[in-house]
Amino acid sequence: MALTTRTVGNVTVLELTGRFDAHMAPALLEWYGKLRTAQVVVNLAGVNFIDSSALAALTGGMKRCRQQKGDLKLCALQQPVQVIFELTRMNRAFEIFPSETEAIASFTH
Amino acid sequence: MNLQADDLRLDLPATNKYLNVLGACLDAFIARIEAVEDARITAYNIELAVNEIVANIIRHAYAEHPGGRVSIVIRLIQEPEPRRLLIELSDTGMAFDPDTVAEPDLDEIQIHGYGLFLARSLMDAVSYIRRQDRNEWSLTKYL
Repeated sequence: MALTTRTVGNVTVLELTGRFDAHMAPALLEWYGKLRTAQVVVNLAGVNFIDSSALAALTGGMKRCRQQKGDLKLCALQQPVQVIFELTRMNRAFEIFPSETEAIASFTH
Repeated sequence: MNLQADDLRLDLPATNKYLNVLGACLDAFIARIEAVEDARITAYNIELAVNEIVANIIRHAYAEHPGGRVSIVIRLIQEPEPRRLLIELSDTGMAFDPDTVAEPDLDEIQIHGYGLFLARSLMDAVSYIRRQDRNEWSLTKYL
């Protein structure tokens, strides 16, 4: 899995690619340690697999951002990876957008 | 499990590092099965279910004794019908007590505790038995 970070205005965009599983989840936890903002969009367009450890890492980040009056939002999920969000009902907990542009714009609305 | 001609057997170190190897093998095995409905989604869901059981073995069964291994046998059963994929996993880690695993509260934002729930949701049958110092899991998906 690769992590690429960009900043768009006040929003930090994290682009993940590849397989996001229990082996890679610690990389995201490490990334949070360097994070200086609480407005985050995670672009999952390039992620082809998400397991419950990866979901836990995303959920932990979302909770952390909300505690700091921000949020961690998701965008561009491939169809197969949506199953884990649906079964765990985390699709209700996260704000999920079809595109990165919409996810970023949601922070200003 | 006595191996049959077309069985695929994997013997993996019990580390998250090789979850991707298991996933690739399952994907490739399922890709050779003809006429699987929604093949991409079906393969993904099976991969996720097996991944969750193996991740639990690594995290819990081998929590106090890392360095173990997980043995996996993948078998397509054509007869008697219905056609089904059987995945059997075994390890020599600590015994698992299904009664200690609470169902996740889906109305709460919960961070951990979804693994077994996901496997049961994605497969048609999931069973566990402790036999002669081994944990044995059996996962079945009708195809």
